[in-house]
Amino acid sequence: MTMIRVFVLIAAFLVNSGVFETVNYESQRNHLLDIINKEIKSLEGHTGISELSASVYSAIKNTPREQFVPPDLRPFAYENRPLSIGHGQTISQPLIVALMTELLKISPTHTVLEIGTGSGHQAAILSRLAKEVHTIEIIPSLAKKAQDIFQKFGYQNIFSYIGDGYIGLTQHAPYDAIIVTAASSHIPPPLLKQLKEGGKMVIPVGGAYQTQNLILLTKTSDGFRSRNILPVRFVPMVREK
Amino acid sequence: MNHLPIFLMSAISLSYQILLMKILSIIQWAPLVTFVIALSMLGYGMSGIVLYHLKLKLYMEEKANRIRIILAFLYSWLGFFCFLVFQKLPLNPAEIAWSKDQFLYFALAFTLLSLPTLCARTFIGSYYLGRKTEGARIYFYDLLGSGVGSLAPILFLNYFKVERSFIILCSIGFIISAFILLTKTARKRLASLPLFFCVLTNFIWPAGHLELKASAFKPLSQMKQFPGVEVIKEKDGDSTRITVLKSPEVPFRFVPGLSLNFGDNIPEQIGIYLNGDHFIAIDKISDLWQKVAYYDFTLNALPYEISQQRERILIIGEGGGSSAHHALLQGFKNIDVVLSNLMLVEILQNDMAYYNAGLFNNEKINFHAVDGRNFINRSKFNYDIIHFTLWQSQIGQMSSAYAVETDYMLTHESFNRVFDLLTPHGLFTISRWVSFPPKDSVRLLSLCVELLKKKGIQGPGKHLALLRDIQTSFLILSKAPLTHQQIRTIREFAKTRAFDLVYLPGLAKEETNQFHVYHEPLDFLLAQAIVNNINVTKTYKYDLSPPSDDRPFFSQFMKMNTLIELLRSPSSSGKMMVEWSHLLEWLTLLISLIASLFFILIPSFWYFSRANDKQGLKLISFPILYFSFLGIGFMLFEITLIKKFTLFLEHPIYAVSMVYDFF
Repeated sequence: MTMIRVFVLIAAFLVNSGVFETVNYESQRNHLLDIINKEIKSLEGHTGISELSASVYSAIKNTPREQFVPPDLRPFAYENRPLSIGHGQTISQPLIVALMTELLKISPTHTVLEIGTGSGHQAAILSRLAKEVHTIEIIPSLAKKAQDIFQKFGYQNIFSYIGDGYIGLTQHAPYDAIIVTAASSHIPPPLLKQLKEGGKMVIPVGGAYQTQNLILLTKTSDGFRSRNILPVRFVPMVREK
Repeated sequence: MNHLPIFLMSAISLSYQILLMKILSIIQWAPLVTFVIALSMLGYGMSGIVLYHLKLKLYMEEKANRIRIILAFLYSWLGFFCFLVFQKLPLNPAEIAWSKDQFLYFALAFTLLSLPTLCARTFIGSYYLGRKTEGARIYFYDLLGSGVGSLAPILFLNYFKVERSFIILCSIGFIISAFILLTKTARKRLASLPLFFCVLTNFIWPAGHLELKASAFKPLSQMKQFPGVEVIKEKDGDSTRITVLKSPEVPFRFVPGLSLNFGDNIPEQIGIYLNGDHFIAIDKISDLWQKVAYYDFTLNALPYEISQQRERILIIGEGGGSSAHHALLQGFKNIDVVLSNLMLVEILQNDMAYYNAGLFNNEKINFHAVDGRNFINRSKFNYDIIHFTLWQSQIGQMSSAYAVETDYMLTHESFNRVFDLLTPHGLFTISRWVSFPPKDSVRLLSLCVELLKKKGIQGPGKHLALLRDIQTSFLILSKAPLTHQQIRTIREFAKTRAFDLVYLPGLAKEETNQFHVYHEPLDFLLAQAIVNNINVTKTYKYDLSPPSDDRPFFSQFMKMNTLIELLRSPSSSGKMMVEWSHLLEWLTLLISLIASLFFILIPSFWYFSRANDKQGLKLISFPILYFSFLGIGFMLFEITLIKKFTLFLEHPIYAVSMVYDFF
């Protein structure tokens, strides 16, 4: 009888601890994409985008976010919120990732520069849309983690660098699109120079602990035009445990 | 000597609250200090319950002294323990709107940090209860202690870092415990135990245990992760922790709102963080007359384009010296720079002299380490330009008493005085961060329009110009109507540097929203409405009414119904627009109510119901109501006084200390 009790207890513990649990990330991902599409629709007045394009939808659908999230936070991987990846950095809110990607209008011939690799999730999505993605991260440990993930999951058109994003990456310039995921006091002039004519840049502008504005900037033959898209907040919503 | 413990306990209890305010502003976020006032009150309230429970024992001096020994010991022990636990809590104010866990963390932090005050007030209350005949004398020493306690942190912080000040002040509870053991009991040997703990915490226990762990999401914490970043100086003052950094590998390059047309390099910079949040950059200048290329590509250059007067300029809230240096290069003969933070002034004048070619020791630059409002009230000079820099508000806001959120620089009375100080063709200019949806810049405009109307000036719109770049807005109020030439120059200036015109006399809608495009030129439309006397207060979602000295809350825009609407919004983008300092205030209220229910009300009813005292149960309802209203009145009075004294004492931390002392 005692043995049976012990067995039942161990079984209950294992079930409870999730050892036998198989998480259906795909259905969660589909659900998240539904939420994103609804939010994108509700933001149409700000962004001019009524729904995600088929290519962006497919890129997000085929990029498992749980791969880029610390193991402890995987249960939250498909909540529409930023998650902490350590070092005070975050993996951005899926809605913002989708929106920034959509705004860039990337095609398969494009070369993209990303400033702030972070978890690598954004670069992974971009890699499914562009020819090449060059991504720069200033914190070496984060860059290393992202590089490992790119390698492990076979993201072969992502080229990762450790360095100062402000100066960009001249050797592969000009870029069709530049995406900046770290707020700056101004738009770095070197990045403006490295953008192709007709190229687009998305960048959050504003300080930490402030609401930032997401800006879409286009390089034209006579200079630059920037468009205020909507307020965003690059803050952690669930922290690393 | 009989009353020394009362005096000391009262002093350290007040010091604890003031130090806690400062600590929260360093490790978390300044508005969290509202918490301190509320949790102190909870400590007071809970002490009533404990005293009721202990009252019979307190009538016997011997037992009372034993209780006091334990309370004083517990005060120190809980002070350290609760703070250590608090530092482990994953608090993040930014998550309040999203995460229910944060509510629990905040409630736990609230309760933990109130425990030392509970001990302190129970300790002092025990004297009032146990020695009823000495009430007046006890009250005197209690008040005297409060007075000293409110000043102690300010004095301590001039000599020690916050951590060390906290340890010293917190460990005084051990000394009180030992003192009572030595003077009031026969077991004098036992005094060695609290004294041992006192020595342990002050001299043996590594201070690293109590080192303040700033939130990983604070800008300074993030900057410290960059390769090659080095802290070259860190200093605590009574109101601010200043951290000076150099970052040779990843230069700072901090120039808010730089024109997209700027293609040159930004000079090397040294960074200064105030309380780990607010950033100031100091440009490296090898020669005072060296031209800095970016100066002409920010909105700050505009006044020099439209005014040829170069006699005297007043700069309020100088950041790292760029405004003063720009004015110097422009040929101003007298440059008055007002910066309320004396410690920052000393760093700029002494430590940074080698870096900025002694800019702040130049004979043409007069540094005034006073509050900006105080300076303009006293100034006898007239100025060609008065400029409120981007840092004007930040310097006030970074104080540990930011919770009061008063800004006496941006009120009708302040603007009125500034206007009077201008020369007949003088310019008043203000830089602010851009807010979206537009709030900040249009409220400034509304403040200026109201001022001009009250001055009896016809056509206030003729005196005003408002521009914005990607990050900052810039308002010009000219004492004389802007001339056609000036208006032309402003248009040209904006066009060549890709800045947007928001308001200018005769500006057409088509001329606005050209470079940094909003979906709709809402700021232009609001500005037009304000200048043309159309009341937008009722129709716009945000409050744009001009602040005055009686309502000095420039940064509070959120209307209650807008807040509710945004919080109810199913869209996550709606929640992003919430000014979450409001949420913190409501959260504090909610937690206070719940904590009061659990720690004061329920125990009160429990006592009477346990004693089966139905009469008592009925009787207690009246005192609860009475004390609730008394508490509300008390807090309304106290908070109002803090706001008012901020104007007179020049700094919120002094106002908090003084008002705390009074009450």
